[in-house]
Amino acid sequence: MVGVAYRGGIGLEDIEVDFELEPVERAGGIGFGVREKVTLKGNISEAERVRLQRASRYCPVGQALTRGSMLIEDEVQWRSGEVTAIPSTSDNLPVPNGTLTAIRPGTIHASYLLDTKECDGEGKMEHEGEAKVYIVTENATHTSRWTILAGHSSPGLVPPPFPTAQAAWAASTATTLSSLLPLGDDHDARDLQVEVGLSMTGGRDLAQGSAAEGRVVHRNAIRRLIVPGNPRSMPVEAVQSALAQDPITNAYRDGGILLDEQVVVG
Amino acid sequence: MTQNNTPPVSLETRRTIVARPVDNNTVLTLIGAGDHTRGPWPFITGTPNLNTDLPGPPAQYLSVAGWAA
Repeated sequence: MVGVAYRGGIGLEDIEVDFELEPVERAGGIGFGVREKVTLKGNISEAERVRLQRASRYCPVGQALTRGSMLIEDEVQWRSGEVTAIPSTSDNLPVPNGTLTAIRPGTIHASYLLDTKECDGEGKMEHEGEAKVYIVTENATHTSRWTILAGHSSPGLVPPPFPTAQAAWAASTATTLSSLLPLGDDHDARDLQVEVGLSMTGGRDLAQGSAAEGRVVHRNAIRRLIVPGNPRSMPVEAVQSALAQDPITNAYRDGGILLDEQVVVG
Repeated sequence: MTQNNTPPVSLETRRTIVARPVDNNTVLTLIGAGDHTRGPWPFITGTPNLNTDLPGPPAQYLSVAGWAA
């Protein structure tokens, strides 16, 4: 949003983003939903506020989670060496060999770090800067808290937002496979590996241009699932069945995790 | 309106992400495996459970954190 505001000459001086995350029942399992509140600071007209609200909905991560922008190719590779593409159809799959732990409610609060914005000698923005993100949620018995940094800055010390979200997708996939595949005594979950390759063509210009215009840009991703065993001991249908339960994969396929949205000038 | 002008992608792309389970409740994920110009950036994610502390947020939270950033 900082980049879209800069490109549009909007006097955005600061921004804070709050999400509430909660479990949501969906067909075949438990998904998740979010309630978003964006607080803009600066001399911002109603038309500019609406434009920035659109940018929030159509940023690359927002598009992936709510607009079905990800075009996913899946393949499975067994430790025995065989590789095959995973069919996109999901009829007559076996029942998964376990259950996923439902997400617990929590909050995410992001603050923009103004002093990480980078400009050239003429004052033209070169990098939008970084955000500090606080995450608070419950374990089974008590509250847990973490801080992460993400954004766009030149030293390469923090990850950009889109790869951060895709890392979450890879992690979610690994969690889902380790929970639902028939591992038993013969297969070790530590032999699982999930690899995601992303097409990053277009970069920030495409991301910010499409966000400003409210335009969905499809992005290709290939996900390789390396699993223990061989095609007989770990059938591809068991992998498909597990993937069909993965909460972030389902958010990418179905969209709809945004339960409520407010963008206010405060 | 939609568009798809991104080329086919391969896992040899520099922005490869690798995730592996560490134990029953923990996954270690690395962004930028093989990219020697930036990062790499590691993340730990966890699954709520009765037995151990969560070393990192559940993956859904990390995903939305990327959106928030």
